[in-house]
Amino acid sequence: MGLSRMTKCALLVHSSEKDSLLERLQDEAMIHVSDLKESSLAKKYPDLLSSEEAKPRELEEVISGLSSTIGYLETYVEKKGVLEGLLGSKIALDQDEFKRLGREDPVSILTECQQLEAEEKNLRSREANLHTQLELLSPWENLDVPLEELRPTERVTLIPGVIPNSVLRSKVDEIAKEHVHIELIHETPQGIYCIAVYLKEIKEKAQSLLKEIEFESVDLGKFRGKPEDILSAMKEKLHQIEQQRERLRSRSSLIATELKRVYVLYDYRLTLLNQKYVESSSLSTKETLYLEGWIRSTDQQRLEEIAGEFNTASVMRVEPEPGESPPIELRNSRPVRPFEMITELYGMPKSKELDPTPLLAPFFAIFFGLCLTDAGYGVVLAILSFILMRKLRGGKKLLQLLFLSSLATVVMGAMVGGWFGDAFERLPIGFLRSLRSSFLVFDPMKTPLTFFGLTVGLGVVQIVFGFFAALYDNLRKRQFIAAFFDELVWIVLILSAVSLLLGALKVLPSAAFGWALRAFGTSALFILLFSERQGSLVSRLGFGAYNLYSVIFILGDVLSYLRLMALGMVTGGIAMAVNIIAGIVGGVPVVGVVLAALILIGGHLFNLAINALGAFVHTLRLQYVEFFPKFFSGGGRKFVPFSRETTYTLIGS
Amino acid sequence: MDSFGLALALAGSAAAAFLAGIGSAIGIGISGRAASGVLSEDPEKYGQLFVLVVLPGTQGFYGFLGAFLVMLRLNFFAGESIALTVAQGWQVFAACMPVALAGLLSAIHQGKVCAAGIGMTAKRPEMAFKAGVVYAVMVETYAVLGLLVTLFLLFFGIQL
Repeated sequence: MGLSRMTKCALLVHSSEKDSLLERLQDEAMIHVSDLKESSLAKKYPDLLSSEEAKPRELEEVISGLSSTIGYLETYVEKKGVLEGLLGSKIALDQDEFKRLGREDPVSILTECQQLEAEEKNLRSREANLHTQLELLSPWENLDVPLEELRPTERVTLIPGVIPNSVLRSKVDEIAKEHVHIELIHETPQGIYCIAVYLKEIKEKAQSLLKEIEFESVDLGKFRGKPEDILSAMKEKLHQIEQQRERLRSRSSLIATELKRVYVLYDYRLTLLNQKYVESSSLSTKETLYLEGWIRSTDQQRLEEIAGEFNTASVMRVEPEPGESPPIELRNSRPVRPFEMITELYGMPKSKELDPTPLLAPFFAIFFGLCLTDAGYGVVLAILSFILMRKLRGGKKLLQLLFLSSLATVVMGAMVGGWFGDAFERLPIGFLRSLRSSFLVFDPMKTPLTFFGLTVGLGVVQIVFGFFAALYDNLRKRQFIAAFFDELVWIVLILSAVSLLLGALKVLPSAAFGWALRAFGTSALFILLFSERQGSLVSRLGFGAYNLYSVIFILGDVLSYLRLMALGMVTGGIAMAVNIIAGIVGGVPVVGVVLAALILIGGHLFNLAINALGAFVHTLRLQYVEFFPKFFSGGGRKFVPFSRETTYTLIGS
Repeated sequence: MDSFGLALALAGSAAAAFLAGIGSAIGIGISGRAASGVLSEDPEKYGQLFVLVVLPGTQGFYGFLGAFLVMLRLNFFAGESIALTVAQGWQVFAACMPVALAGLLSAIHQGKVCAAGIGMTAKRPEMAFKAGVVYAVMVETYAVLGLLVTLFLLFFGIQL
C-alpha cells in the first residue's frame, strides 16, 4: 500500500543517438519527463532551450492529414455495434509490427484520399447546383416554347413569373381588360406559373397592375431550348453524377479496407510527435540532448542498463528543483488496485500524504452493495462485468471495480433477503425459499429500523476511521500534539456521544453511561481549549467554541449515510413492483407468460441499471464529501511516464 | 368503509408518483438539452455526459416507490383494500408529500446543476465526476431524505 518512491534523474546523450534513445525510453514507459522550460538550468542558460523553429510542424501536418483521412474513410466502413462502440475496440498488434507498418510512407494513401475527397466534394456541389436549377425549371415543363423566344420583341414585353394562389381569377381577368395578358402555364401549391404579356408603351401602368396581383418575375434567361429538353438533359447529368459517385464510393470503400493500416500510420506518427515534444521540453546544444525526469526508485538500475546500450548516453541522479515535489503513482495490492480509480478521479495525494485507496476500498464495495442490496442483481452484475472484462483489452479498472462491488452486493443482498426483489418468496419453489431464509439476517421491509441502525452505524465507523487515518498520518509525521488534540480528542468525543445515545436507548448498561458522560465532557473541554493553539486567549476560545459547534456537521455527515438505506429500499421496492406487475400480467391467458417474462427481464435489467448508477454516484459522494475531508486533501501530480499514447491501436510487447 | 379516506390516500399516492415524475421529466429536459448542445460539437463525450443527463431521473423513481408502497401498505395487490377513515386517509396523504414535493423541486434544480456540469465538462472533462456529478448528488440528497421520511411515515407513522 502507498505511493511509489520516486527518484529524479538526468540523461545526457549525443544527438546522433537521441532519437533511438527517446524511442527506447518510450517503449519502456518508465520516465516522467520534466519540462525544463521553467527550470533553474534554463534560466541560467536560456540558449539551451529549443527554439520556435524546432517545432515539428511537418509531422503535425501529416498527423492532421491522416486524421481527416481516417474521418473520411470511416464513413465507408460498417458502423460498429453499440457494444463494440462502448468498449472501444482497438487493434491489437505487437511492437515490431507496429513499428514496421508505422514506418511506411503515408504520402500515397494521403494524396489518394485527399483527391477522392475533393472529387466527391466537387460532385456534391455540382449535384446541388443541378438540383436548384431543376427546381427552378420544372414548373415550366409544359411550356412548349424554346425559352430564348420568351425575350421581349420590338413592341411587346414577355415576363415569365409566378403569382400566389390567393390572387383571385377575376382580378387576372380584370387586368386583361387593361391589356396586360396573363398566360397561365402551370398551377402548383406554391403558386401559379405564368407569363405576363403587355405592350411596351403601357409599361408603367402594366407594372403597377402586375404589382396588384403580386406578380413576381422569374429569371429564366440562362436557359436555352424547350424546358422539357433542358430538364431531361439535366436529369441525364444527375444520373451521370450518381454513377460517378458510385464509382468513387467503391474506390473509397476499397481503400477503407486498408483503414487498419491508416490507423497504425496515424498512431505511429503520434508516438513520433510525443518524442518530439519530449525533445522540445528538454535542453539541447548542437551536439547533445539533456533531459530530466522522475523514475520509480526501483527502476534506477534498469535505466542505467538502457543507457548502457548506447555509446554516448549517461544517467545521473539530480536533486529536485527547490519546491518541486515528485509525481505520484499509487501502488496497491491487486484487489485494491481497481479502487485507485476513485482516488484518481478526486485527485492524486500529495507526496507526503496517505494513499486513501486501501482505506476507502472496503467501504466503497460495502456501500455499493448496500445501495443495491439484491443478491440476484449482484450475481447478474458480476457476470456481466466479468464477461466484459474478458472481452475488453486495455483499461479495465472500472469493470474490476464493478466486479468486486457486485460481489459485495451479493453478500449484502443475501443478508437482507433480496433476490430479484421478493421473487424467491413469490415463486413456489421450496429450495429458493430456504436458500433465501438461510442467509437472511433481517428484512428491511419488516424491520426498517435495523437497516437504519446499520447504515448510521457504518457512517460512524467510516467517519471515526477517517479520524484514525489522520491520527496515523500525524503520528507518522511525528506531530504528536496535533494527533492528540485534532484527532484523538475528536474520536473520544464521537465514540462517547455514540455511547451516550446507546445508553439512553438502554443498549448499554447504565454504568457505562456515567463513564461516557465523563469522556464526552472532557473531550469537549479539550476541543474548546486546545483545538486552536495559536493567537490570543480570546480568539483561541472563540475558535474552540466554533470547533465544538462543528460537532453538528459530524452529525450531518453521519445522517448522510442514511442514503444507503433509502437507495437500498428503492432497489427492493421497484424490483417488487416489477414482480407484482409481471404476476398480474402472467394471469392473462396464452400470451401472459411471454409478456410476464418480458416484463421481468426488461424491468429487472432497467432497475439494475438505474440503481447501479445511483449506487455508484452516491457511494462516490460518501467517499468524497464525508470521508476524505477527515484526513485527505489531494492535489498531487500524477506520474505519467513518457510512453506510446495511441488512439486506435493497442500494442503488446 | 369510508370512501373519502381511501380517495385521500390514493390522491397522495398519485401525487407522489406524478409530482416527482414531473420534476424528473423537467430535470432531464434541462440536462438533456444541455448535453445535446455539447454533443453537437464533441460526440466523443457521450459516455461522460450520460451520467449527468440521467441523474435527475431518480426522483421519479423515488416517487414511484412511494406510490407503490402506499398501494402495498393498503393491501391493493391482495385483492381487498384496507378500509380507511378520513383521518387515516389524511395521514397517508401527508406521508406522501415529502417524496412528492422534495422530488419535484430537487429534480428540477438537479437538472440545472447537471446542465452546468455538462457545460463544464465541455471545457474541463476531468472535472465531470469530481465536481459535476458530486454537486448534482448533493442536490439529490434532499430527495433521498424526503423518500426516507415518506418510508418512515408509511411504515411507522400511520395507524391502520
